[in-house]
Amino acid sequence: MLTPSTAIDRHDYRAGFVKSVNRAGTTFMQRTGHVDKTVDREFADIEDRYRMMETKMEKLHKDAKGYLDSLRALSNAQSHIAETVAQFLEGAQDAQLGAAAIRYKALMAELDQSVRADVDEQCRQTVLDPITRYCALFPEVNEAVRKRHNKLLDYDSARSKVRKLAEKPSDDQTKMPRAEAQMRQAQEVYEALNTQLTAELPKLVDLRVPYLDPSFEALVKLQHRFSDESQKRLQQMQMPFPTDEKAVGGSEDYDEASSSNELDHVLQEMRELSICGLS
Amino acid sequence: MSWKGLKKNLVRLPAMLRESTGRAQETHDAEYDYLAKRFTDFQSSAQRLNKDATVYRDAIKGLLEHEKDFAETLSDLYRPLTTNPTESGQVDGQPVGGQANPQAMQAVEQYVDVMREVHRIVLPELTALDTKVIAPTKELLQVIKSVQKTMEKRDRKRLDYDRHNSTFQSLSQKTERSLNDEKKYRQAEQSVNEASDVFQYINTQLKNELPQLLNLRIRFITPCFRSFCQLQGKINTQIHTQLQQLLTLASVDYTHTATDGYQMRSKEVEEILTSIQGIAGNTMSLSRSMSRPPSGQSSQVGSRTASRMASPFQSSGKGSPSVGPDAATPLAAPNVRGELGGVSSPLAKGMPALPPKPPGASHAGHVIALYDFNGQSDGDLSFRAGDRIDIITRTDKTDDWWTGRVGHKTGLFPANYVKDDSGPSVPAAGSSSQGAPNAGDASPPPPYAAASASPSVGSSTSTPAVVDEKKRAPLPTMSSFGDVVSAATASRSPFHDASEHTPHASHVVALFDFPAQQPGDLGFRRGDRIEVLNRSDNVEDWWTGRLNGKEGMFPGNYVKDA
Repeated sequence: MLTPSTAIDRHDYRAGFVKSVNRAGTTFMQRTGHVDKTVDREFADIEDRYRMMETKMEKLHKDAKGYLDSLRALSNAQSHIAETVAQFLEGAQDAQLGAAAIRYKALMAELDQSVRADVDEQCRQTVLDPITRYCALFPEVNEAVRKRHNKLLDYDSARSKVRKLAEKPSDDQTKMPRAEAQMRQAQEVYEALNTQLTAELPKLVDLRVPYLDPSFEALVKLQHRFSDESQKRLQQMQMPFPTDEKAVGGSEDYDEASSSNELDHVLQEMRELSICGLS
Repeated sequence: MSWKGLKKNLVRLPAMLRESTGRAQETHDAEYDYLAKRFTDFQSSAQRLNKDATVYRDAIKGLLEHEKDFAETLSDLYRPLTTNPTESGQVDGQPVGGQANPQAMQAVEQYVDVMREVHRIVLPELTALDTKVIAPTKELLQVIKSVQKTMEKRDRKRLDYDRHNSTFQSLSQKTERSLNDEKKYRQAEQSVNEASDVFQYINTQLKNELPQLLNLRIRFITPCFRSFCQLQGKINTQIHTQLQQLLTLASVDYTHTATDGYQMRSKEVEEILTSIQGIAGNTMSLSRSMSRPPSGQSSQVGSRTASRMASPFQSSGKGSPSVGPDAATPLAAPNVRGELGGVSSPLAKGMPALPPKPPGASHAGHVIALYDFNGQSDGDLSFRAGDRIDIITRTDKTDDWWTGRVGHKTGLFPANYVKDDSGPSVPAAGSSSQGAPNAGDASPPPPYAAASASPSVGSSTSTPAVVDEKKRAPLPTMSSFGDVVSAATASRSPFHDASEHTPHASHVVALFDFPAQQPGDLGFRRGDRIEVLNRSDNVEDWWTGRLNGKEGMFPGNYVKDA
């Protein structure tokens, strides 16, 4: 006894195989000019536009995802850095500096929290998810387009058979009616699918803008919100900072120069330690 | 490793093993151990700082790139889509490929400009982040690494000292020493002293200098911290300033948060989504039903579920497909006990089925429930009479299962329980499939009435039933995004009223092994005793049963009554 599913699967597989071999034959005959090929400019245009939309949509999806991932990474890294800095400064002599580090840590943690709760979540809901849902439709549509193409090949092949029979009538009287019936069947199947796709693909393409517009509006607001939240907290940070007693003048240029000098100096001192093994 | 180093390692090996197994004494220096611990902390902090600063830089970069690319792609999508870039996008004065209204177009153009500007201005700042934070932390890590090497050396020297010391100790404990022993004793003493000197030297050096290094870390982090804060502030201010321009976008209403604003427009979006899902679903269902040639050849796109539903009769060698009606008739009226609602058969209980719709009927986006429908399986959509249901996927036939949404719930429901809403239909779906000949409508309504009248329910000649049932089977795939309708649920027979007429044994015994083939199957071995939860009169059906606490479906022809 066969298992129920293997019997049918094999059957399916064989039928599919025979079909694709037949279609490959038809394609070849069309290339060599033995079978007429239906050229449908209208549908080609429709399909091209759909393909463009599909490509752009997928790209949009990729970037939306990338944006969200970067946003998370950014917020995470900021709060981690603040934590590490506070750790570095644990037990530092400079109380003011230690306090600044602790404040910084608190601010960044707060920012991370708000990004996670508001921006991240909202961005997923209003931007990424809708685009994902739109893109999820493409495989089905693509399958239908592929199907239409196959049905067209079947139709072309059936029509060519009828034409050949007409040119060179067969002895078998039943052949012609059978071929004609087959052709009509193929035509019917193809045209139903073609009519529907021709009517509906442009709609799918046209609806993209009204569909995306609310997401666009949301994204603009979220970007703004994120920037606002960051700004609010970083400005709080900048008030007591930098307060380096040694820095005279306090102009930014001087500060920057002194900070990299200071760094070079410290690193040099470290290297000069005998335990560094370099001296 | 040098020859000398290799030799040293070999000599140290036994001592190391003894030590790790706890058989040898290990010299501890509490002060050093404390410093070493602080050093390790310092090391991991420095590593984290370097890593996070790199992540931060890359994240900003990624953020800017993706923002810009997103904006550019979005504006491409807002523009009319033309295959020919020189084409103005106008054919006979009509825009092709759809286009945003001028206001939205202007907004997106402005948005692209802002994003490009942000990208242009901010990206160079990241170089400063590299030179002021990332590069110095990397150098710091190198310093730390060389110090770590010194510390490893110190550990080796300590091992040497312990090793020689233990030899010396054991020799000195001997009360009587031969001349040879005495020589060894002297030698060991010398070795201990040498090892001790070397170890003490390096240990002292570390103890003196590790605190210096650890103190320098504060002088290191201060400028780093300051630079990072400044750069962070600067980057943010630049982005913030640029983004202020977005406040002037006329199409963006800042009085609401992103989610609220989206919610306000979400109805629109949902409608579009519903209609485009309808497009995809319709196209697919049509292509599927069309793909089945009249010769009865199995369709290659037939879903696995469909093929599996049909499989029992195949294996039993029967030529004509006969599938139990409870599995095969999605049009069965769920609330009518023992009745199977045919499309055109008026039913005794006054639950008339709707007449089949004319082939060219338009697809409304909404339908109104005529009767209460209580979902009988997961994935069914329950509703009350009078409810308004958003259609997600539908077919041209009312004897099918459609997918719809009521409130937040989506699911399958029998189409003969609803009627088209006379209200405004979704424009996009309005004319979908209009004029498209549908193979299904051409065929006469399946003779379900006969099936319901006859007690041997399996006897209905059901080529159409198989088609219908196959049409139900693909539904879950169509609505695969979001609507959780598992294939198993769909293929499971939702109505088993018919089978309740005839009592059956509640247990069956497996005649053959049946390995589960997909989720929802109940696998068993020959001879297993299965509790039947749901069965039909037809052994060529899939029944539901329980075995060892697991529930699932299995082919009825694999078992016999217990």
